[in-house]
Amino acid sequence: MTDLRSKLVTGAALLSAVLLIAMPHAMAEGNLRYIVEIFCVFAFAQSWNFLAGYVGLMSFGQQLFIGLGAYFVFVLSNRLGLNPFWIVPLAFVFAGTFAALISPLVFRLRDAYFAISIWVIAEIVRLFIAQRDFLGSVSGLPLMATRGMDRSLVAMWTFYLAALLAFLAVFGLYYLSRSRLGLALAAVRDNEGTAASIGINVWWTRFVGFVVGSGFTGAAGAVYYMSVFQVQPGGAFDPNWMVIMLFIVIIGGIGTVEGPIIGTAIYFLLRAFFSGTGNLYLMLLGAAAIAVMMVSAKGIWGVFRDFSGIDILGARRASGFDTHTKS
Amino acid sequence: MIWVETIVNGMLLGGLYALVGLGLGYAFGIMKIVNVTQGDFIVAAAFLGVFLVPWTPVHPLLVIVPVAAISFGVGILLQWLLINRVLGQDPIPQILLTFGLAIVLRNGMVELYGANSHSIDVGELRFMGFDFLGLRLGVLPVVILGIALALFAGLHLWMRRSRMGRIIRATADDHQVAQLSGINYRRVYGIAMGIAMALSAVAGVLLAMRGSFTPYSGADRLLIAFEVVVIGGLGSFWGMFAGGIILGVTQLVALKLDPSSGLMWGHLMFLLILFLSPNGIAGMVRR
Repeated sequence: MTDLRSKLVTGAALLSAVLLIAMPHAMAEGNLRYIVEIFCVFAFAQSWNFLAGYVGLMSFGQQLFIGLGAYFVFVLSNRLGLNPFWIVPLAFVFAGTFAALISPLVFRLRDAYFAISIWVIAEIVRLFIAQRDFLGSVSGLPLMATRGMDRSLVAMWTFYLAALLAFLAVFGLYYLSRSRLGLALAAVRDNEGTAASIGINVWWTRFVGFVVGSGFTGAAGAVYYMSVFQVQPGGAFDPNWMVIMLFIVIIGGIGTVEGPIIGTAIYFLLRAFFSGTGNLYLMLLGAAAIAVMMVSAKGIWGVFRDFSGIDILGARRASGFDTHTKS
Repeated sequence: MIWVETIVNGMLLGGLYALVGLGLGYAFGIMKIVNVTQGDFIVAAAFLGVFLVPWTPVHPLLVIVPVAAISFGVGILLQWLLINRVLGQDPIPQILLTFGLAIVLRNGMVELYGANSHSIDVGELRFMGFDFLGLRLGVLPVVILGIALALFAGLHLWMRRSRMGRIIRATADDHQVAQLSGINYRRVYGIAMGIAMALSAVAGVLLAMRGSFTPYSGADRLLIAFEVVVIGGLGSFWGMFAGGIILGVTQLVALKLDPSSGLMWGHLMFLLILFLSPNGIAGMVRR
């Protein structure tokens, strides 16, 4: 049974890879751009889901890493005249390093206080950038390097980067959650004391999770802002990014790979449906999140999984015993 | 002398910041709940203040009384109807619940009032000043500091001396053991949240009298409240008061030195204190 499932997942991964590679050749540029946005927002949400649902670190300041990744690519590419597409992996390293540097400080705080301390740091970085002329101050920076390039080529490579992010956000997270590290993360998330007692280094495990998750947010932030060709401190470090990530994850189902896929679909549908009504869709998302918390904190996919017993991309494995007895 | 004046003004502002943090810190100290709605609720209370001022007799300052009373009720309802239902070992559901509520509240206010800035009119009081030891100080900031101090001291005494205060402290220590003496801790939580919200509401109204606010101010208010609580050492009354003063002074001194980024230095001061002492001021004193 388990064997079959992991083979199915491998098959699905290969199939989606082929589809994603073929997509830009079969689609208009405008649609492609929309899909890039969807993929990036999904990658943001999934990286927050990874931190909150798999590592057990809830942050209210992930816009920090979106902005850092974006600014890193823009500044480096504009200053040195480099092709921004090659710098995106470095944006992962840069955002991850930043996360590593702040973690000794923010790990001193727990739960909501941890969450808000990263928000404070995001505010500091935003205010810092907004005051520096060489970083474009309040009005931000344009992306110079893509101006001389072939438009359709730029669109294609942006799409491939976004597709890679989305692919990793599904299958990378799936394989990571089943790896040794993923299991250690789950153990630390569920019970620090027990995790420590079986020889897991709690601080270090959490640290690695935080760095990887935040680095991924940074890379996604870089791709998102490359796709719109300019970045501003007010937009890149906007707390509303956090609101979007949070609601996608909560409504879809925190701590599952599938949940944020559903959440992203709901978010974009709501946004399209209520476009032109101002902030109404944000209010609806807020209300939906409250409703999810009142009914079941597991979200749509979590409830569906428990109800139907269908678990496609979860980390749980069949043990040979009947694990489906309801507790 | 200008520096002394800046520092004194920073302390006056800091007293109000302390009050902004008090609601958040009080709720956390008793229930270990972080109510993320509090930032946006502070703004909602300010709007309520704007609405009620024309009907307030004697002096606009007295509007804090009805706003606090209404907020007390709102806090109880919030706790009883929503937060109590998601209480448990895991703190994440209640944080996310209140975050959702904050977003609904904020965007609702944007829909209703637009993004313009508002403030509460207190008449001449806003422009009155007096000389004290060669310093020129505003009357309103001093009155506000007085209100903040009175609320800190009043809450402290009430928690120490009254029967309800004793019940709340017992619940805070161990709500399961408190239950053995016939205390319904969920009801006590409601009252504690009511008090927390009333305190936040007073802070919101006073902030709106000193300066201005927009429906988006909630985020800044929440960050200030949070910094006050962490600098103070998570739940220590007088630590929080000191935390507010430190933030207020840092902000005004930084604004003098670097007019474009006073807020940033307040945030940096918070990080510095977190770096020096993970348990805030209270932790430094205890050591």
